[in-house]
Amino acid sequence: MKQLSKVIIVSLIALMLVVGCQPATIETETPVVETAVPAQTDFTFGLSWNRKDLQLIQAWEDYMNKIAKEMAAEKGITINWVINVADGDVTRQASNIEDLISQDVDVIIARAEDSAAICASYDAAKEAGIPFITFDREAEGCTPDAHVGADSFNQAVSTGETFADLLEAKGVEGKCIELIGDLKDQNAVNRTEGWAKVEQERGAWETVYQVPTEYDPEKFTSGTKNGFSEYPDANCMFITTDAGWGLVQNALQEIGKLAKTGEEGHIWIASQDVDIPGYQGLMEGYMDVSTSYDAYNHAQALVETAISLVMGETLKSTSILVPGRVVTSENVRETENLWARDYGDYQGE
Amino acid sequence: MKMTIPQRLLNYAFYIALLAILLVFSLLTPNFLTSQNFIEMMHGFAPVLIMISGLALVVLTGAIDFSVGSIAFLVGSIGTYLMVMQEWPVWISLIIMIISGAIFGLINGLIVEVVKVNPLITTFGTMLAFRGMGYLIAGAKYIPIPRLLADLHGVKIGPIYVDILISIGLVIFLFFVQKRTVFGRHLMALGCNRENATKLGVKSPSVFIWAFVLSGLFAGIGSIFYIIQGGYMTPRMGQGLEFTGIAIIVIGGISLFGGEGSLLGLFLGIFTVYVIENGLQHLGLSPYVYPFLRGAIIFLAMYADSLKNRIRHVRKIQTVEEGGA
Repeated sequence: MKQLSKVIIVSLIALMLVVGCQPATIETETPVVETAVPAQTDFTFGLSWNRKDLQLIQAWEDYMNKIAKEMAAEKGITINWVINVADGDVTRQASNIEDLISQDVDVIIARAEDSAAICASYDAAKEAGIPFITFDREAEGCTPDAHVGADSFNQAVSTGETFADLLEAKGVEGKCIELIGDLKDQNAVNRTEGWAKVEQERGAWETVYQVPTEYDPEKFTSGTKNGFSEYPDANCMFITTDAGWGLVQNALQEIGKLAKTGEEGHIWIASQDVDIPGYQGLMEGYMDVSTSYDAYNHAQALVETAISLVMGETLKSTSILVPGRVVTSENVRETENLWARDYGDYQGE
Repeated sequence: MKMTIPQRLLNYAFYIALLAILLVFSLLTPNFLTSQNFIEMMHGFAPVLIMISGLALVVLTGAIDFSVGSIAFLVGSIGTYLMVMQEWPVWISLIIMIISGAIFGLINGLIVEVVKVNPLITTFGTMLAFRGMGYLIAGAKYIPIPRLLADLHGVKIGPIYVDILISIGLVIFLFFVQKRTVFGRHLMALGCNRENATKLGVKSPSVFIWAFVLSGLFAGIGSIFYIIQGGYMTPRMGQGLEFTGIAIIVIGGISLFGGEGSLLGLFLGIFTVYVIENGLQHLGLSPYVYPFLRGAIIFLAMYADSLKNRIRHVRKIQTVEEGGA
């Protein structure tokens, strides 16, 4: 009997030790992948651009190439790129990604033209066993292996918070006109929601008028003019992207409402991206606040994630959102690594 | 044969629908039916009106040109490259822009008429190629144009912006070309029936080539007004113009099969498309309502137009039957 008790106690202790040594359950959407020494050292990254119509996209691509070279050298691997562009055509992007799958690339990175339609491409890649990363525009209706992008909601929140501070400090009660982006673009939706959140929480302004621009240059102009025609007492604007600042600037000038910060009749302007026109608007003192869209940091996060996936490493998180930095007309000169400064042709001071 | 009152009303159904739309917008928003609003709206669409007026000539021949938006973009890229990056004098750059627009149109025309490639396939290909060339030249950037040119965006004669007057003048000029010149008559004849027109002595290749040249030329001129208005060369310039342009042309009464319609119809077409957008903006509705209302209003207007055509068709049959009896 004594012998039997000893056996039972020892067995229980052994069982407890085994259970106690198990890792805690990780609540993450990341599929758990065993870390292993890569047998493969030569990797091909497939990159599907939905379109390549902005300098920002070229900046991303250049930074990705540069960072990939540096990281590959560090890790003793080789990275080759296969890049295709869909020219804004959802169907063509699906077919381009099929091409990447048939070329048997090691990872697919896609900036989606349509956040929902990209899920069909993700499914195809998953079936072929190729990891899939969405870049900049998050997928809707599926969860790819990773998403790398800007935190567009947080971008609008940080712009909004700084803008609220500014209006409160100047004792201004804001009546704002909002130019929204393309409602098919999740970033545009996140931005309008982020702006609305701060509006509700801080009460520093009221958005009296909203126009969906679909990023159409003509609608930036007409939206501005029609907004001020309906609300002549409006004194502030929230622009979905400061890439459209030049158009808004001309529209404001034509209706006699263009004035720099500190000048009489100044329209307070909040936006995002610090794109080339926005950089100019901040430098010239017409725009007040913008949150940067940090192309270099996005590219770095993307390459790190892609390397981790192809080398079979476990990701800490499947959603890697890179925050932006708040840039104002006060600090724009001191803010470092703004891609608009590197890629733009600002001829001012 | 006399038309009944309902038939008469249906004959003008499109105009009645348009008037109804104007009335609804006017009643719902006080700042819609004002001269200032209409001037601003026309100022907004002036560059587009110029760009698509050449396209309308191609459509009158029964062909199509999908590349107008890309030509406008490429011409804008060339111009800003010369003016800003190479610091060429503005006036020389503008002349080169206009000429290059015509050259790109000529390329389309030569591919269609000499290489004998279908216009749809040709211009679909050049639409991509021209845009790609534009990106190579200007680097897909937002490029601010020289101050000298940018400052022209708000120039007015009285209360009217100069670009409105120029766009109207150019469309009227093309209307006279269509109606009062041999080239215009040949254009319409080819659009009606190419085979018969050729038998009657119309030199179809040269007429087609000239139509494409004019399409490129006007896309180039429109491009100049576009960049002046925005103050920037934008990477999205002309995107989707081929489809908006064709919609405007069709609403303006120019048949996609060619040989039917008037250049003056472009005013009606562009006014209809822009008035809807303008009215919706003035209403200040939720942004999510726009696509639905835009689609519903365009459908209503087009349905009214199709009713008119149906009545015409029925009347034609009745006339033939009465003649036969």
